[in-house]
Amino acid sequence: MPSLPSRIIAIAERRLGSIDAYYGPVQPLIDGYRDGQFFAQRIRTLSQTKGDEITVILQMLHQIKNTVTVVHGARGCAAMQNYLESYDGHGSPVFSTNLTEDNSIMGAEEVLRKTILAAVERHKPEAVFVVTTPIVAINNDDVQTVAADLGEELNIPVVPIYADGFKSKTSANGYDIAYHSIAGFLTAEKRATDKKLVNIISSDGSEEDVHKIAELVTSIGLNPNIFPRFGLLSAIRNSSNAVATIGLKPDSRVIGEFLEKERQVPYYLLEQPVGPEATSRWLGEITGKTGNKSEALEFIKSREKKKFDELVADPDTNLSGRKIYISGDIYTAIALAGLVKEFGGSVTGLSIANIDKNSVALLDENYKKNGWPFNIHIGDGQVFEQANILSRDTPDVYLGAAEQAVHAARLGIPSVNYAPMPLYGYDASIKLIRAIVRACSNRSFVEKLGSYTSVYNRSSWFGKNPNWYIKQEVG
Amino acid sequence: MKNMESLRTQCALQGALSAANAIGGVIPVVHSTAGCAYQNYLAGGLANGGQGAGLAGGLAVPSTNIVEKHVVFGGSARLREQLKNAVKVFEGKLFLVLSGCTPNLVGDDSKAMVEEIETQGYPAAYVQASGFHGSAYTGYELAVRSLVDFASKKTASPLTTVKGLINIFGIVPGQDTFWQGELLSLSREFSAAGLILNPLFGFNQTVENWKNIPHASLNLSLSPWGSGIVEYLKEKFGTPALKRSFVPVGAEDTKQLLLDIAGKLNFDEKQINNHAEKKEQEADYFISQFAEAYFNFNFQTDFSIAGPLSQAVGISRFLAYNLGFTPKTIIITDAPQLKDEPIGDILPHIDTKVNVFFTEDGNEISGLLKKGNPGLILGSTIDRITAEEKGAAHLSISLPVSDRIVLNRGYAGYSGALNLIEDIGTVLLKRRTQK
Repeated sequence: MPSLPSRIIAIAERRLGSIDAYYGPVQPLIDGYRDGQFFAQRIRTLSQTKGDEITVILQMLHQIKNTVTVVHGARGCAAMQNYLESYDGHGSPVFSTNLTEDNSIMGAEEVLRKTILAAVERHKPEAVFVVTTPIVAINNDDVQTVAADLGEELNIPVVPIYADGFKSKTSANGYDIAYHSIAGFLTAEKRATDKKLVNIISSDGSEEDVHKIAELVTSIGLNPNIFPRFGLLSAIRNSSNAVATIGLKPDSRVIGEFLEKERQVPYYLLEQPVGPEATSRWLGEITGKTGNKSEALEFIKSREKKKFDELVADPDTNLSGRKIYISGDIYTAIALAGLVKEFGGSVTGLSIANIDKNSVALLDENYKKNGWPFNIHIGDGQVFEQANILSRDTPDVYLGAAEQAVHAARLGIPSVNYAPMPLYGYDASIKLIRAIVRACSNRSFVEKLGSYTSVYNRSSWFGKNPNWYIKQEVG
Repeated sequence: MKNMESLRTQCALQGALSAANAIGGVIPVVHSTAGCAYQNYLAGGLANGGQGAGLAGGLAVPSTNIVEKHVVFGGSARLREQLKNAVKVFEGKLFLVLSGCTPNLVGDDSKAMVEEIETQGYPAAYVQASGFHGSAYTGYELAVRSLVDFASKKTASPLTTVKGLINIFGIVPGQDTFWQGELLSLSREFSAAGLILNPLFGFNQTVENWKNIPHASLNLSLSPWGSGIVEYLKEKFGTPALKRSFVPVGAEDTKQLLLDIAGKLNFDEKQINNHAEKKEQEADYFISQFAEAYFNFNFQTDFSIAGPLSQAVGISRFLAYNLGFTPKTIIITDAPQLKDEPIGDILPHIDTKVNVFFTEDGNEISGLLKKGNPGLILGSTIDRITAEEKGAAHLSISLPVSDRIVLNRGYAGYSGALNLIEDIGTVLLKRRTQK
């Protein structure tokens, strides 16, 4: 890895002061990060499952074209490929080294080597990703050497991604680990800056949204260079020649900052273009940052404004008087909060997967702008805490990713899963607004779910503060 | 070393978790890293006919989500803390601790933590189900043994036996896509024949049903994965065992199974025969109706199938012996050790040679399914691409299943066979209209 100082990157907690456990007023959280300080780490003394570094990495790698991923671990560490392959489809192949108890004791470098060779023989990929797992972190397999040897032998990049699965509490740390390796192994030296080329970092989200972003960027006369998801390795190699890198979420930071520092490509993390206002702002910022004076922009803004005015006149897109609880990663949640407001609704609570020294500024800005009176919840999953919060907040609608939305629905709350919906651009999010209105207008299914039995001891748990099992970490 | 691309089966921890999620009142407590239970939800819940994972499943699964300090200093104390708090938040009749790879590698004493919470009056049990111990089927076996031990702790001696009560094993929640439907269907068939099936998993099944295990007259295994369990129960309670390697689909195999059971239990065969006769009349009535479509649209075809042994063989036998379909390739994806019945004895034998393979490598499965150009491919949703390439009709019957919703549908028994006819007839018709 010629361009990087070390093979691994420090975990998000140490690097960024990332936390994934908090419930309380917004201001103390923001204050905790003032003057370069980190908010004090919290732990949970009762927790529920959630995604981890490995799940985040696998969903990302699955959509990098002409590559193969080898998960070096027990078969369960790659189990989600069943989901990715059958629902996401057309992704890159996933192999498992399927480690046994013997491998866990004696090491499994040879198993890894053979699996990589088999994967390359079968698919002739342009690169192989090797994702490590807890067993490998403990038995200390020398993955680096296996990868380096095979990279030389096969003459393709064999990229180790050191996901121990237990180093960080923050699943988004998986993006950082993956981008650290991608930066070192797959980017190329800068040749010359292409003033029309803009890197767009696509770590997650739908293909439809990625296409929309490409369309928006193209509409103002720029050429999008999209990676890693739904992109080619050539896009990663070419990223060093771009005029700017645009991140849609903080998960792009490691690759963005690498390109900025090592390849002199400025990196901008912008608010997501969700809804008319944010999309116009987003396009304006890109034209400004790239020095690309687009005459088309004002025309697009005024055309889309007219379309939008027609849309909000429709009662099916009116959220007036609706109280909405939003959960998700901070950039998406804040973008959705803006959208809800734009369509006349109000935000009654926020649950954010994690927050760190970088993303707290966005929260601060929006908190000042909106004066949210509610407590904020920081937690990835942790639906028992959310159940407690929702029993107090009683929103009209819960807006969250699928696996969380269903748990809100089980409480009898109309819920909408925004994850598979297109969000980016002027009018894509109209589908989401309509889904919210639909969820409010026919509650029959969630009412049935709400009347069904619950796993929670309501009298005991719902009487306690939702932060009961969140404690400040000592030492 | 076998190639392992696109594995269809989860790990032992995830198999044990799926089993726990399929019993009412059981709260699984996963002692492992964060993603283990989450991947189980994606692979065994959503990608398995969209079944989800139950009220205490999915993101609701309590999990210690251990991190580096627990690897360095041990995670037993974290498990203690988790259990102490879980019993206050969750309504459970049993807290089942499932211990994964990492705590087992670093030597956490999960068993001691379980014993500790038990001394405080909370029902708890423990399964050491590291992912590296094997597949989800192994995890199912491990969980069942632990649940049996827990549920039979207070069984009074001498044991009383309930005549006609049969425990059933080998149909694996979270792995066998139609597990709920098969158990419901077989329960109905057994009940109509005068027997009482104790399905143990699924609708209305709680820890209380597990307490009846020692009182059964017979333990029935319908896949190689129940075989070791019924042997264990024979040793533990002296209960007779009947082992079959496949789930019966349709009249012949269902009747034969019921007669085999009657033989083991000295049960009145006349009652079985009367029941079978009625059910056969009903099935014949509908099959006779199906004849119109069968001949109008030339349904008779050859087929290839990929799935766990119990299902692949059960379905193949029905298609070959009842619908006149010709089996070409049978791919067994759960790679079982067939100790009880030689594979050749249970496969359908028609006038052509059937090719049998044991593999769970997705790429190899695709290649094998393509050979011989079968008119019908039964396998996972991923195999749909292979079917489309070859112009074959396709029906998802084994993991991962993501192009259909499967709730209480099953193919076992008399009524299950009619479901299978409907589903296969539908995909054959669709292929016809798509051509």
